[in-house]
Amino acid sequence: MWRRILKNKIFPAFVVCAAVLALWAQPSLSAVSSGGIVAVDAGHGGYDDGIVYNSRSGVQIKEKDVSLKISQAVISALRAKGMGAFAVRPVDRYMDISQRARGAQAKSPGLFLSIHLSSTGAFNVYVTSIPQDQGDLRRFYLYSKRQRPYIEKSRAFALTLEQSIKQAFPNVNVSYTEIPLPLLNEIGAPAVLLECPSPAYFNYKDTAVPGLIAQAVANAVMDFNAKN
Amino acid sequence: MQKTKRGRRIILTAALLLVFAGGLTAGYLYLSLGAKQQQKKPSAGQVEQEVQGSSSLKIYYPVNGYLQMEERIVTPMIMTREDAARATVSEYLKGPAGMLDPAIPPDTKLLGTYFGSDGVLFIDLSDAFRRNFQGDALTEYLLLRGLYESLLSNVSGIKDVRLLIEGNEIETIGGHMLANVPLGRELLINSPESTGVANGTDGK
Repeated sequence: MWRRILKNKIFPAFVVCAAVLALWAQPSLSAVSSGGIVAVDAGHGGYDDGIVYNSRSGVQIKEKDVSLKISQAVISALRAKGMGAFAVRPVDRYMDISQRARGAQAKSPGLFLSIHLSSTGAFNVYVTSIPQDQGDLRRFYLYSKRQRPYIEKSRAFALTLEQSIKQAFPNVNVSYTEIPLPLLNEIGAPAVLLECPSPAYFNYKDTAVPGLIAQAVANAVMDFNAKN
Repeated sequence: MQKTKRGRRIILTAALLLVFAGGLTAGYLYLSLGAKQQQKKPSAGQVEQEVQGSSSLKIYYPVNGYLQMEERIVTPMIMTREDAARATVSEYLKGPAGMLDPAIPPDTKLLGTYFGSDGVLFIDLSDAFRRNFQGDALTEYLLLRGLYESLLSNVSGIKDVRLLIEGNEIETIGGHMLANVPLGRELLINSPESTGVANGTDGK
């Protein structure tokens, strides 16, 4: 009798519990690339100016304004190529990191791009770093719940973006870095943070500059989508 | 007959509850033992240097995309870990020697250091640390990582470090990294090498 109870009741209950735990711990892969809509996040905003550059002529350029301008140009360029895109921060307002993640995730994007400015004259492409130590389950899942299944695609998109920017701006350095970035960790899609050169090196008053960057980004998205 | 059926049902329910409780206990023990084992491991910095009896501090500054270690001699001699924590942060806030444009936010004051009962060190800084920060994602990462590494190298018995600004937790310093979580947990998830950067392939 006990053997039957063990076989028919306890074992199935154990399997169900284990399956529930596994589903809870491992993020779903079913959300991969839902139609290729691109979430474009403009860094900083509101009272958070980001990097502030004071030019010799006394003009102040704020990272939050430049990132917004570039992100709008990127969205226009993507739409012009027939791709769906939306702004995570469409206006000048403060959004914290979790609000941005929620705003992006709400539309289940196929790709996520956050636009910032660099402290240097280079473009910097970032992908979040994922913990290697799988022994500590709490850390393992806490910081990579959503991004983990997409990390290879994030790296592939970063590489494509790096190449596209190098083609568009052959005289400007482009670097690739992996550091733990909480915003990217929370995104369930290939996710990259792009820093454009500091206003000390790039003339963002020239309206063509955001357009050129946007074209390079849109080309990278097209290439990435074609390969994936 | 009915009594037997009822009895079986009770036994079955009790068995299921036992399995569930056993699973919960095993999971809890696994996670808590794992955490304890990790806490027992002394960091390289702690093994290398105990500040007591010495007034030499190792400070890790963010410089040009890397962490650069400088040895600082402080007087008077440091006697307690509270002294060590204060001296370390004070030296860190001074910035690296000879740098005209350091990544450390200028005019930042140390308001206090407190040890929590769980071994977490709280560092309370003035608002200038957030307000005057001017940097990109890598600079912000190295700013926090440098502070954390400096404290770990000079103060014994730290489990983790938490940052306060004017006595309060804030979400972020520069909009890229979280500052309202323990720095070690936030920054060291991938344990990058001493440069603080994993897979950096700077094209410069």
